[in-house]
Amino acid sequence: MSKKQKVSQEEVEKIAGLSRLLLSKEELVKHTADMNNILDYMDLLNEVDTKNVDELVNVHDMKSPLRDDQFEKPLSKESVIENSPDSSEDYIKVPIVLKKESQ
Amino acid sequence: MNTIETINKDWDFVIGIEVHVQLETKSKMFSTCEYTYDKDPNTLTCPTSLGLPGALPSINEKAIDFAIQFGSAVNANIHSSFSFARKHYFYPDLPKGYQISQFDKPIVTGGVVPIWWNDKQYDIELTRAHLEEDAGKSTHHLSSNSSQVDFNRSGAPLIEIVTEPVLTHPVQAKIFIQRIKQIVNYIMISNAEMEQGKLRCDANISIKKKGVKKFGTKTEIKNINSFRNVQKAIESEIKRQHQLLEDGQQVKQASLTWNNEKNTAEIMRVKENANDYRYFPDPDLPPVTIENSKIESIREILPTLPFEFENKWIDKYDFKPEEAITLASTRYIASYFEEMLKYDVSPKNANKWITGELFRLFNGINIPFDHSKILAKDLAKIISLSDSEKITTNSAKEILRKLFDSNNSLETVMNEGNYMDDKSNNVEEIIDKVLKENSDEVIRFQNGEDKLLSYFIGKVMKESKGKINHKIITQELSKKLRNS
Repeated sequence: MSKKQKVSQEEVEKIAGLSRLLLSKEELVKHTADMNNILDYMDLLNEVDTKNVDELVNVHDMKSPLRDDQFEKPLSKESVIENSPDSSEDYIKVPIVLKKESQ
Repeated sequence: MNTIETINKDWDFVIGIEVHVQLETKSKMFSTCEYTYDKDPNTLTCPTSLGLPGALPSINEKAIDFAIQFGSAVNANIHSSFSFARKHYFYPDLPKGYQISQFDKPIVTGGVVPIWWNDKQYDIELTRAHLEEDAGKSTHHLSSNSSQVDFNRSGAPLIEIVTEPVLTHPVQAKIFIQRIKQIVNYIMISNAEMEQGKLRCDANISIKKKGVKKFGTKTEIKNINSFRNVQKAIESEIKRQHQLLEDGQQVKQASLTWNNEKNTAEIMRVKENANDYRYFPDPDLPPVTIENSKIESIREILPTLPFEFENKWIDKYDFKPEEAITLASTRYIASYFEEMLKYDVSPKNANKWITGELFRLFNGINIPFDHSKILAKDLAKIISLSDSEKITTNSAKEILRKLFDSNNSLETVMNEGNYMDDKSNNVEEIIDKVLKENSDEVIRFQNGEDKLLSYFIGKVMKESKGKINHKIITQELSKKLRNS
């Protein structure tokens, strides 16, 4: 493990934060090592000459089918509300998020 | 406080705009779920738009057609191969934790939107336009410390239109966004009503000293909800940045949100960069390939666009920019004007009547221009009768109003009002009557009081209810007075 780390522990912590994961100190160490191993493996893949190979965006060798602009019966409001953890009137109730964090 | 214009003397403004337009398809972007505005909350959902586990997206072809229409309208590159990507962020109105959007392979790149600003035409360059899904809508209740979410809008199709940082003034930015609304209205892919949230925009703003090449640090204002606020929000941010820089401080890269109640931009957070969204190709959606023939056939059915009308009328009919802009403001007015020309009305005359009398009638009852209220061929007929002095201008206006206020045909209105009475007889009768009733004045006139002629003219006009041409009255009156 003398190689320079590709991902630092701080970066892993930040990435975990973006996914709303709280990692313990031990987990951070473990996942940082794992992530670096994965990226090291990428180096091996990078040795393959892909100059004349088309980019593969999706593992299924197919194109997305398109559908007609038609709609079907929606889910009933009652079933939607029933499946939510909490509701108020016809809305799904969630803990307040004051600051829009993104988008 | 410095005004925008005084700041603009020493500083250049660099503005880029992102406009989200909701596309008027029947079903959502990635699911067979209806979307219409203003339905009861949570009544238009499906497993996909709720982000339920295992639900899969399927692409609405109509949304793609609409994006192609937009791309064609602004002369952009339309890619026959494109793909969708996941943009990750956490927010309660986005239940699956990512928005399906486009990243490195959008459907439309480039393109130009011509706008008018201070009587000059500017070509605003676009970076791209891509398809994505809308999020649900949340409303916050501070008192109960909770938010309420309505998922009806979740998954509605959006096209996001992004400009290069080429706009140079808050007013220009506002005009640009109005132009986008006009274009999507013309090609009928969205009504783009801002108050219904069907057009939303963000503005990227930085300022730099005149002569400096390097851009300053930019900030982004999100959630601007009216045309007026576009200008206000950008102005307020320019002033804030200017103050910071004049005080020797730095502008920090940040996202601000426009507070519609307080009319101020509030800093939300230091902006995250694209990496934080962890974009990657959506594994549920393999790339899309469309036939070039599809693109071509959509291009062919594209209507004439507002800027094409404007340029044509300015070149061909010698219109002033503002005249052309007014006539091209909606597709209905523009085609009405063009139809008038087919009935041999001169362009200047058609413009005068449409933007004069007709607009007055529509404004009077506060409804948008509707070509079926008064048919172009009827207005053309009225104008021709008025021009050939078969009816007076007053009568023409009265006929228009009656047509406008009723469902009667032009023929009925004309007959009922006796506008086309045999005027030579009629005018003689009326003059005889007037002269008889004003015999004293007739004597005074004959004794040299010339100015009484206008008195008689007034009387005859009144008697004829303005239906007889002024010239004819004068002619006939002089004849009669000389002979009596």
